[in-house]
Amino acid sequence: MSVRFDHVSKRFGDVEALVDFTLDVADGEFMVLLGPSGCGKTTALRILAGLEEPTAGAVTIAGRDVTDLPPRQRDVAMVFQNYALYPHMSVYDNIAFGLRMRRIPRREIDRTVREAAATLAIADVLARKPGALSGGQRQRVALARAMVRRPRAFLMDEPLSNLDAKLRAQTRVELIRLHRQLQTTVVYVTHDQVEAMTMGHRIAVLERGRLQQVGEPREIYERPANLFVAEFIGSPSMSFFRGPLRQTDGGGAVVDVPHLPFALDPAQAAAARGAGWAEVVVGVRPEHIVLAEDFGERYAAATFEADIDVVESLGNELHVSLISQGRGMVARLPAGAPVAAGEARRFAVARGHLLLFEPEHGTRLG
Amino acid sequence: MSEETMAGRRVGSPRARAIRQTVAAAPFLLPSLVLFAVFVFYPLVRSIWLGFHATDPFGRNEVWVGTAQYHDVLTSSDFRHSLLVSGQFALYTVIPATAIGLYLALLSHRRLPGIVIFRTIFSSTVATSVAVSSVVWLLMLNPSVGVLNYVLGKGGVPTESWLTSPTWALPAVAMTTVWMNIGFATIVILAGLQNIPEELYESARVDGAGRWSEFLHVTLPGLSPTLLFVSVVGVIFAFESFGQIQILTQGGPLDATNVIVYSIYREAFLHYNIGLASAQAVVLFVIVLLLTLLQFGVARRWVFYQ
Repeated sequence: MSVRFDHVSKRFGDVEALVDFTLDVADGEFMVLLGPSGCGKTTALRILAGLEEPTAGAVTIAGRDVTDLPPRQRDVAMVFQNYALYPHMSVYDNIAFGLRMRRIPRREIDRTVREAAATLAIADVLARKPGALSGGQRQRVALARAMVRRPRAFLMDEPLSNLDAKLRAQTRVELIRLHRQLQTTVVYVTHDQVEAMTMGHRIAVLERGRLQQVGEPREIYERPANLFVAEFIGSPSMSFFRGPLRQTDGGGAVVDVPHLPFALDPAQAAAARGAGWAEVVVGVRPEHIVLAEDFGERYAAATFEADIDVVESLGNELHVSLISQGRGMVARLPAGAPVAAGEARRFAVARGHLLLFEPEHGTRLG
Repeated sequence: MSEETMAGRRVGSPRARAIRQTVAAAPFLLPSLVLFAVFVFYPLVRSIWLGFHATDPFGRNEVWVGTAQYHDVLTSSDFRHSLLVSGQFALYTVIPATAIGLYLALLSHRRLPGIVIFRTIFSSTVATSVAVSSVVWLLMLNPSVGVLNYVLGKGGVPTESWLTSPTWALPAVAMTTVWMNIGFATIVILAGLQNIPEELYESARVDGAGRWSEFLHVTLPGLSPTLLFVSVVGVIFAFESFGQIQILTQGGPLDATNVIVYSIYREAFLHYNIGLASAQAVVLFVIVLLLTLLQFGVARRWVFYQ
């Protein structure tokens, strides 16, 4: 079912945890709330679950205002970061708990529980206590417990953060598959951008209680709304350079970063001129910094000399930390690129990939 | 010293390592061991020893009498009566104190402004000595000037000579003891409540549980080790109660409150029968030990340790 946050705010004493948060989640959508710790994403989820009361605003589920309803009348299921399994109950009883609370007939409970257990491959541990399970199995039990309820929406609070890297990647895929199968609305909280990018139909990025941007993963990555989103999304992070905007002959424009001037495309130059900004911040993704020798000068927005500080090999690619005129930046190069720490090389920034931001408020141009 | 011998020394055989660790631990354990030895182990051994000996009124001139005194204790109807009284006393004190402690702990576990004041009040009886609270209760239970009869009289309920009535003396002493134990029970149960993760409640609420279901499926199971502890300690307290009996009833009337420890006291310090008193004490020790083991045994079915 659809979910809507309508101008929701939440204060804890002097702390504004969530400020005028408005978000529409469509029926069946996988919505990810993404942000650093303390950004308000968990508060938003807890308000949706009914575990926290908003200071202002309303929450609707399937078109119905549930702001004043207790959690049990909202018909949502929540998966907690630490799974919150009842330690004294068997896996079976854990999964059946929500159904028993709703007085579902015993036979139907049994059928549903076994079905969910089979789907999540935990049928062989139904008799065990959660204490005797591995982290991955506990996670599945928590999922099964949410699944059997057939809720209007799944609320997930960093459900993968307690798993090791390999299991996390595996479970990510399973969650995507599970969602495709169930078609239930998911609101998923995470600080992990990989989870957000891979699982979310759309991502809502929050910071300091404020919604920064909502959009499809690709849109968030390619057209971040502001400096915060630009820096937060993408690993390694984007590099930023600040300089005055200068018009050039022939209608062009240059961001005059000392020793590193960026030539703007005509369209971008026109837009920057239209905005009337005196200074801009240029954002460059690591994959758009390349070795100049591989690259025609005319495709470059800028070329510069840099010292190679550190080369991290990931097997399939290199993350290369550069220092140019005292400024640090990171380039992402193909695995075989001929670079070594300590060398000085010439690099180019690919044309057409520059992002321009207004320095004071961080809003992106265009 | 070369690298090799250093490494060799450090690893050692498991046996050598165990010995080394014990030697290292000894100085840390010593102060406690000395205290225990002087105040627990020695008196215990001495009591067992005295149980096998008849003595003069000062506990001297021991004469070996074998198991005769133990036999006397176990076949004596007085001792059986004391045992019964102690059992009743335990029943009257443990269940109400645990239940009231649980109730007060649940009340004061909520996060409300000023709740600390209530927590302090509810726990305060733990800071009151048995002697002081017994004297206070002695006054309150006084048939003519006591506040209890005053209040009961106002309410039209028949008044009673609480501490001199064979029917009411034991319940009255038990009531004062419940009051004394509430503080301890409340503190321990409050601590137990704080160990139950908040998420379990939240999960239960999202899953559709109401207050009662939360209590039944989250609070009680989470508290089970705490409740076991409180009741085991309560039973031990009950079987070892002395101060309130001594101050309120001196075991009377008609031995109605003559619990085991009080009977031991009488045997040892009124009748100067040290050997017989020691034998009683040893039997009491065994009974409390068995009761505790029994409680742990029974509780294993439903107590859940995380």
